[in-house]
Amino acid sequence: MESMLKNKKTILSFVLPGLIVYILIVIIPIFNTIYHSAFKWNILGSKNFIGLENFVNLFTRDKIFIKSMKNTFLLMISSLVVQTPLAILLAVALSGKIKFKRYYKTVFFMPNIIASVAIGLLWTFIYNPEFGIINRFLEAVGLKSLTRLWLADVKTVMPSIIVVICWQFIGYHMILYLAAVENIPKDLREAALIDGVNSVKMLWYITLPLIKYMIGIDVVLMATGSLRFFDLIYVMTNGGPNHASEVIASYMYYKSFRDYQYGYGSAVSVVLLALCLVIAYILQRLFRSEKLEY
Amino acid sequence: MTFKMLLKKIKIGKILFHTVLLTLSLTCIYPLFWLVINSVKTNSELFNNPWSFGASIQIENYTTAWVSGKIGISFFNSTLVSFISVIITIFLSSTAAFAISRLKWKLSSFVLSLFLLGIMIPIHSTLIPLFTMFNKIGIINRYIALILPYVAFALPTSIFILSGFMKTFPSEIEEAVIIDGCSMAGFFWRILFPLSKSPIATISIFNFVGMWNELMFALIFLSDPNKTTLPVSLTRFKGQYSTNWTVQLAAVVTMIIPSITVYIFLNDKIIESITVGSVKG
Repeated sequence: MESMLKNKKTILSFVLPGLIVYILIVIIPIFNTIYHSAFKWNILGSKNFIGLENFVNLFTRDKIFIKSMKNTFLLMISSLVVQTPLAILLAVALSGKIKFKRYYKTVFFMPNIIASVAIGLLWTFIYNPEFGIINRFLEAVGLKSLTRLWLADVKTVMPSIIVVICWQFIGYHMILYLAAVENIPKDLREAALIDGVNSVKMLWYITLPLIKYMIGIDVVLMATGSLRFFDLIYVMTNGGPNHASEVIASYMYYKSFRDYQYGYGSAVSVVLLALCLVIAYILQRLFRSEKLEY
Repeated sequence: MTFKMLLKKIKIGKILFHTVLLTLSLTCIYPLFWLVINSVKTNSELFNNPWSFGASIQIENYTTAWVSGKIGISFFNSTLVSFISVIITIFLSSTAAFAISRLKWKLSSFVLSLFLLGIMIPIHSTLIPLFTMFNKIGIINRYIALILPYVAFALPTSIFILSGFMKTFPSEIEEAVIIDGCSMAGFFWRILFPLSKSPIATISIFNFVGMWNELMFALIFLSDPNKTTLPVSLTRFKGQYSTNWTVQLAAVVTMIIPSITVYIFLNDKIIESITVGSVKG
């Protein structure tokens, strides 16, 4: 028995196919990207070693990159600030036995199974200045002065995108919190009710501390998800107008596959990779708490 | 307060509660409803009144999108690529998960952490090297150029979920089967793999949704209009039919409908798969 479990041939034949694909497609390219970020390398194929110059340029000279960093963090922070509380409130509202629970859950989660590309296009129609229903609605209620070229205006483009992100993802976070809230033992809540605790206090002193572990998981998911944001931006604005909605991922795409500056594009993706790892690490430490067992 | 008043109070609270939730659920549904009713109108009807139904149903919008807009071909491509990628993912991840969770070797925990590292890695950091590599071996614009990265990036989460499940399998059964003269491989294929149906369904749904909706890899590795997937075709529509809005709307509906149809029937399993897939990771 023991010898069969340690049989080298069996082990290799089971683990190698997956491991080889994974190493070739994920691990090696990562090191390749890090290596190439130290080169000036464009489509013509000339490759010159320039050390850290790409990174120095990114952080000191490249205004568009700085803008895309700012936008990325704006997306991250707005997601955390807007979506987390709303998702938790919805989860608390839907927890326990309520009517139409299945309907609400299904509908709120629905935008998550639709491709971001389709959602992005749907919302460009909604924001469309001519037939889009946002401007039409504002006109109809006598607020014509508030109509905008939502996605073509430097001032409104980011808020407009943030609305779409919330629309798409709140239901997803709600489902995570709903599972956590329903994990809290009933007698705990009942005991509090008997003691005359009102619902605000119940949320603050009982529910929130007991779902803290899920907030920790969710915050990491939101943060790393925001860093990778690409599809919606690419479809809705392509980083425009005039790079006003550029994010790190869209800028990386633009530099690498529109400007064909592979070395510079690699440097941007190294920054992205580093941010993903560092921010996930920091947030995980910040929210470290044991999952409670009852 | 009398009992009756209390009842009344609870009722008003309940009505208010459901009104709020119902309104919120409508903000999820209405945009899709709006999209569908306008996708069967003419352009001038859309511009005249985006709120109302059209005078007649313009099925031409769909035939234009499906045939000349190449949505039909892309639909087939998307299905093919996602389907093959999921099948390969199932085999590669379940075999690797078996080796990691049940066989005894020194490097098994190292290999598991190597796989888990992949969950944190953004696909963007692999794009340029993969593009140059695929270019060199001449597979750009072939399905395999998309299947390879889809499988590779699906492995970490899939292996994590599957090895977590396989670890809990009772070793008494394993021993009994082996004593009866079955090989390790035989035990895996005949007993463990069929018994892992539920987590395999989970990773299949989780990965299929992700692959069917994926944009960035497809944009770069499979840009040929006859080979590419639905998300890429949709992004091209914007330029191609820039004035013919209702055809664009019809194309978007074509992409959304299969997802929603499947979702209506399998909503619980889909919700569970997608959330388990990312929380565990």
